[in-house]
Amino acid sequence: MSEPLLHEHITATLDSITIDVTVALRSPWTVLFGPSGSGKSTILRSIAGLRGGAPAWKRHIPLASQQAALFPHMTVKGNLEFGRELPTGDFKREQELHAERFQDLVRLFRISDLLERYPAQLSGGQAQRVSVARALMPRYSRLVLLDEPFTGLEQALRDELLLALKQWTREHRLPVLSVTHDVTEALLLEAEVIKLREGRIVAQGPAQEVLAEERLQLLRSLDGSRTFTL
Amino acid sequence: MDLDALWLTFRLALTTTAILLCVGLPLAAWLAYGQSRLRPLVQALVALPLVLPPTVLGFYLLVLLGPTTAVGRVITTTLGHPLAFSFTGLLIGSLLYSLPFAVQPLVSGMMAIAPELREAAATLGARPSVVFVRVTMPLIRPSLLTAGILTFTHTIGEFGVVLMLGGNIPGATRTLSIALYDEVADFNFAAANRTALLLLAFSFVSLLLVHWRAGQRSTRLV
Repeated sequence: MSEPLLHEHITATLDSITIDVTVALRSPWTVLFGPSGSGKSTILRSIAGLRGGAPAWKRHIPLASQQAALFPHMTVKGNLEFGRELPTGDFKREQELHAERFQDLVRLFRISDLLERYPAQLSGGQAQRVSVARALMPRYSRLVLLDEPFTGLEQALRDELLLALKQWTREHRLPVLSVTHDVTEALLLEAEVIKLREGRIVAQGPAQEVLAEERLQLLRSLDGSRTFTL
Repeated sequence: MDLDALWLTFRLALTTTAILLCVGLPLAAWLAYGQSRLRPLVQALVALPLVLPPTVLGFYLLVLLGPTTAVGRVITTTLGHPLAFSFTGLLIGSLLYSLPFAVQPLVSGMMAIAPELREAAATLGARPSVVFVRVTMPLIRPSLLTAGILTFTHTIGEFGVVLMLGGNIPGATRTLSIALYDEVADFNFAAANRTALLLLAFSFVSLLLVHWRAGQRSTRLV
């Protein structure tokens, strides 16, 4: 198997559970799957550098947290521009690449009408989209962490955004580790899934295999007389 | 009206406020975000002037800066004159006396910022100094204003420390509150009334400003 993108051993003691996992990422998009309280967010925070070890700002691993933490004193545009690196080489070329990325993400997340607004003027779903877009802005990220990125959005929009995002991150060779407790989301992304239960990894592999049981349950819960392919 | 005293008081308050805001910001950041075990100790020390009789602070400073201690002797030799009964001595006293009024609003302002905001900034690659300038500072602007006004007003109104440490030298250490005391001692009630009224009006307007601004901005998450 190829060299993992990230290999990190994480231990933590929370109120009810002890987390002890080794996360090894190999695929472009990995999903951390598990019920709430299984330690998913803690793992993301550890990888981002928010729980000790090398400081977060040196890691180049942006995290879009579950609750969109947008800077209230900046417009949406200001928020997106926050993570802008100082140009290192060819200034003009850097500017162009940055502008291109900005336009791409604004289009992808459909936030062109919101750029001049302040976070207080956004709905929850809009703020969430801006938060994810902001995490994708830095060009030199090693990995992007998305904590339940589109929870609360209506399903059709969520699916559309996820697929567009999958395509975009693949094109830009940007690995993603996202967190979800939604089976359909993991299956839709055809991602590698790390299944978590009570702070332990119980399975890791392609979504279709790891989530086979959940997928069957989901199909049964839908109308049994018809056949579905998920 | 003792214009010399008015000017001196104003100069003292302005210098004290400027220095305390510069010193107070890093100190407040350390108190609000630091992990050190020494924090309770420093917190108590910073808050001490709130409860300590100003004369106690003035007394110890007088002794410390006077010719009986090594510190005092070094200062006297270096400057050519003792710090006690000089404007600089008065300034040192004011800095200590007004420290909590500068630091405490800043600490509360910093603690009110949702930690997620500073975390988000850090994961986006901002080093701690950048986070401080671009996230913390803009969000504590109201607290910065409060700290400035309170420090300034409090310095204007100090009496005990000034009397112990500065005495009553016109043009050098005689502040408005000392002038008021003098005017009353001289039974010059008309002059005392003007000075008192000025101090009262100034203090009231300053506090009005603080409360007017309070709560106009919030740093809550969306």
